[in-house]
Amino acid sequence: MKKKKKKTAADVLPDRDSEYAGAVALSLSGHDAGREYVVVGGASIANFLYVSDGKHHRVTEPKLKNKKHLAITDAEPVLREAIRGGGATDADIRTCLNLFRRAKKSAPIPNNESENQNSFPTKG
Amino acid sequence: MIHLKNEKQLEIMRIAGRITGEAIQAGREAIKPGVTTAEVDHVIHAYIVKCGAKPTFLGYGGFPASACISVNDEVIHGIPSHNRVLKEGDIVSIDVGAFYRGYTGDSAATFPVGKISPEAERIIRVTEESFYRALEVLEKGSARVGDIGHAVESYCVENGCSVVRRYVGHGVGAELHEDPEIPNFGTPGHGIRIIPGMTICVEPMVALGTGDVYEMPNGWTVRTKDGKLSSHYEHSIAITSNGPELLTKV
Repeated sequence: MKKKKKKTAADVLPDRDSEYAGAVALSLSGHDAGREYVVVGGASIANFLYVSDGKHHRVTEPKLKNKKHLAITDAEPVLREAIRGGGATDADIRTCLNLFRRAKKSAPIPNNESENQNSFPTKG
Repeated sequence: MIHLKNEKQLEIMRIAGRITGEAIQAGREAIKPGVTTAEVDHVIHAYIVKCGAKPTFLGYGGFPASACISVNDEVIHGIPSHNRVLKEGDIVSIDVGAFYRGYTGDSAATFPVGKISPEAERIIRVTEESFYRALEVLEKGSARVGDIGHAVESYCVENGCSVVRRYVGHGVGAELHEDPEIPNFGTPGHGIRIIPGMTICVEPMVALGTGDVYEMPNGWTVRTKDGKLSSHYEHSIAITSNGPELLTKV
């Protein structure tokens, strides 16, 4: 009996080469406002992206989000390459998001003194 | 789309912001009766370049100078000129950006030329204070874009002034103008959420009259239609998990 082929990201995403692929995106609007996703591809509809959280919206069933309702970070290079190659898994997405959350929690408290303050001339 | 900045990017933006803020102060010190707006621009340009940065505005969309210097009823985008001589009683808005290692700051303030009228003092004070009312909203956390605009406009209206609605604040970072737009008016509880990682410019543009404006034939300078005084105040703000941080205040 012919086995049903398991769907992968490569099968469902029309544009895995999107410049935003691999970026963590925060939803700013809608019932999922505040939720974090990874951009897994561009959509054929202008101004929309496919996003996944590796759990509720798996990489094979990504959510369609309007770009204006998202805030994104820089793309994570290794994940971006995996997405572009069609090999990114839900576990990859979840790992990326967990690392992002951990980094957010441990970010140093900013201050107004830059360590490069003396690298340019002061006034007068 | 809104681009969130990480700590490394914010560190660079702090430097760009510091240079921007100090350039504005350099311009402020150059302002006095008899000085031309071109001379003020020259001082600002020289300061930014001395700091190893580039003036963001120079060449941006074809803008011919390093700073927008707007006098009296000019709201924004005043082009510095050797023919525009500042005189006692004028008010001068300086709007500057400094581009450093891929990121830019953006800031503006309005200053008196010598002794100014009580009305001129009022518009400068109200504009600056409306910015800090918006900042209080950001400090409370969980703000939306509409909350910022409402804070600015309600304070201005309470003090007998009008906001200029046609021009808005904006996100800032690798580009001078990024998403989101931050109008100086709005409905509380409306608009997108302001979240950590965002870097935005809140910039009240306030007029003593109606706030209706027009663009001059030079394609840049914006003036009030009724000829009444206008003021401008702006800072680049990083939204962090500990609250807002003014990047351009020195």
